[in-house]
Amino acid sequence: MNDVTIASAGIPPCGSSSFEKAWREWAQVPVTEACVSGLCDICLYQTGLCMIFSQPGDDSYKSSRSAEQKSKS
Amino acid sequence: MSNSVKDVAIVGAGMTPCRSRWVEKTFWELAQMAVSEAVHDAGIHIQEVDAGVAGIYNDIFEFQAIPESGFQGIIGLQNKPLMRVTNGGATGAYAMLAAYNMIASGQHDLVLVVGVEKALDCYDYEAESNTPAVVQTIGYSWDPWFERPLGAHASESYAEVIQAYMDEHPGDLAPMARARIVELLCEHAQNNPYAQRLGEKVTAEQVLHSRYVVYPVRVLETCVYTEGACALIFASAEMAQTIKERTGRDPIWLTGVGAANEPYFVGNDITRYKVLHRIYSDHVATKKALQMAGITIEDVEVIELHDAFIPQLMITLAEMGVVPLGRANDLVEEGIILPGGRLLVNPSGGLVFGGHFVGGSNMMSTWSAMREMRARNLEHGLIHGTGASLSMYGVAMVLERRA
Repeated sequence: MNDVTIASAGIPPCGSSSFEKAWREWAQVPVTEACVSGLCDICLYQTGLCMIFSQPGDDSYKSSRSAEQKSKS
Repeated sequence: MSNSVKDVAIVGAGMTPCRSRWVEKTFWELAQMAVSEAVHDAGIHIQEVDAGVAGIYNDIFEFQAIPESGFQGIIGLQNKPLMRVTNGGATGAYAMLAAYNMIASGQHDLVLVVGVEKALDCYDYEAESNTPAVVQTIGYSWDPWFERPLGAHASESYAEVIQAYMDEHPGDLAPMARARIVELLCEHAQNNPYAQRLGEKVTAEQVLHSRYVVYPVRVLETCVYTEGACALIFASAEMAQTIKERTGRDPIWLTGVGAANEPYFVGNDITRYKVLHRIYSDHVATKKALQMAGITIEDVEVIELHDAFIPQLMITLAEMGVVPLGRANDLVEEGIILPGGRLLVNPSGGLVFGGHFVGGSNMMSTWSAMREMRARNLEHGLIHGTGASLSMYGVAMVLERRA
């Protein structure tokens, strides 16, 4: 079997109730912290959503509707 | 992929008949039936199994939290690890992936994976009906704050993807091509002794005149609700050899696996968002699985894929590279998947005719592909599972039969 290590960890404060965050956001908080403390690749966008990429698609398909394609044409 | 990944074989499979209603069996008993068949098929004793993985779609269907706990001992895995997997429609495929990992990592030598589903056993006194309303429960997959309160239900998310694809590729997914695929799968199902719709005869003409479930999907292009179970036995190379010496039968090898889940939120940049007219997860998962197996899609002779809806089946085959995106009509018009064509698709009848017991449907696909590979002397097969809103989740696995 391969050796396994834990490279980093993240945890938000525990509370009995949280009005300001949905469960999706609670998932986002420790993941962000774990990635940052583990120096993993992470892209944090100011849309309020955290998107994590391990391998941006090398064959990524650009929609013909996408802004990228339209600006080129 | 690490070089230390160990070879994984499938040495046994067992199925229950697919039915719309199993009045006389609980889901525990269905799981037991399938496991018993699989153990018998593999020529092993259940006590030889090191661990198990249970694929059960959701607790609300079974009307029990931790539903797998009930059949832990009934299937003979007392005091052994049993991990439950739930990943939307792709639950069965993800459960197989978990079992694969247990063997490939070297942790275990013999792993049982069982998928089971049924939903109409209990009476809900609050709703005053048998529980749960299946379609409504699948509707719970939607965003609970903004989308579900609008009345979003089960089929709409796939219909959104299909409509977006049709906008992007006008003329593709032609009604007659879709109808002929339904006709084909109906014929395939007549060779599957466990198929739910065994004995049915559906014509393309009937499909074209059936009612819409949600535009553009018609009722005869839609998968069925099924109660049933399927079990598979995964083995390390050493254990597969031992079993082969007992049974005299070659195993089927799992030589490539791939999985990908797209983001929930829709946008134009495929590296960050769900692009609505794509099922990109199917593309990525298939590419990874084929790459790992060292083959191309042209080498695949049989595909058992997750056909929740016929137009989605066509998009998925395009995402896999069988035909280019926008040319899915060629599957029928060029005879690629028709009898005599170069590719056998869903010989079980698929989820539309074979049955769709969500936690185990992809295992039924595996059972069927293995059966066809042995019967027709085929070398490579591909298994596929999809699920979640907008068909976000994708899993692909390459099967190989070694001479």
